[in-house]
Amino acid sequence: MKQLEEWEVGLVRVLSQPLPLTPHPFAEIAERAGISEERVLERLRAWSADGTIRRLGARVNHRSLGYAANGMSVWDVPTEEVEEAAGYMTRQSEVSHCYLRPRHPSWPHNLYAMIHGETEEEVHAVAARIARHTGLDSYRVLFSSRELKKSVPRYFAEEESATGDVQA
Amino acid sequence: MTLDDLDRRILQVVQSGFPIESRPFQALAAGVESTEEEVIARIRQLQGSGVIREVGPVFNLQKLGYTSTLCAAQVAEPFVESVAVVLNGLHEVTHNYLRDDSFNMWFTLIALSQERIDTILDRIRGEEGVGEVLSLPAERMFKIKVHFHTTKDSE
Repeated sequence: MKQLEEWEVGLVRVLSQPLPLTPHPFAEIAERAGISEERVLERLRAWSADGTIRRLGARVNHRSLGYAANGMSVWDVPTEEVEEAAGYMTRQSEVSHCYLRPRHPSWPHNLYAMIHGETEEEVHAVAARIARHTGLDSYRVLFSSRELKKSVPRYFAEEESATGDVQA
Repeated sequence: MTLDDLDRRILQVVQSGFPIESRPFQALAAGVESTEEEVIARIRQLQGSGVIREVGPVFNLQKLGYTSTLCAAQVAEPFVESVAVVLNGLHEVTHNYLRDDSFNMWFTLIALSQERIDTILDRIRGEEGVGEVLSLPAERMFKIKVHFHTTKDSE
């Protein structure tokens, strides 16, 4: 990762706040960041091109779009089978995220796939399909019973510095 | 909220490919056969009703110098609320869910250093009612899909 310049950190901080819903949103962003609109647009293009920005647009609340059941499926997959299993999981349109994570003595699962459906039964059916096709039978599906917090990350909030010193 | 046809078309285009230009909503309007004014009004409405959480960039946090991890904690039932208050008060905690497992509290942490993550984990481990806390940082990412279809009924 290359070090961000100070004005870039300031721009990221401003961009971590919701985009103003006005005809010239980037001009407002520019004003808040103390730079020109041209510079904001140039950075947004460059960061989108190099992957610093994964995506620009609206984050939707998928619960409000009919995806009421969201299950975190966790799998115990032998290392040599991870590639193929993850490949199958990511091809399922109901799967949004798929990650490999470390096991712990009290937590034997290493592969995680988030499955979305209209009902818990639909989500279980997708997990069963994955189990059938991959031959993996050691898995569980954890549903969230409550969303305690879901926030958009506010990068470089005022109390932080870019060097990593953070005051609690 | 009941979505009409224009809402759905706007949701489709505003989720990805947001125009990087001076008047982005005008550009979006052209794609959905509407006006800049109408598109802005609809997006405000969708945001007000919670269908859209917000509009903006999704950063690759590693490229900004951040470290992240998914954590799973065993929290005894009587202490769920008090531990949640502590966690949710930290801006480094971006998501927090209760799940039906002995590891019942699942949260994501982001911070500018591993030291900061460790400090927060130590603090949580010291809270009353907290048992084991696992840190499960992603070793590999195979997929992130953030674009949801908007063709389903969403009342």
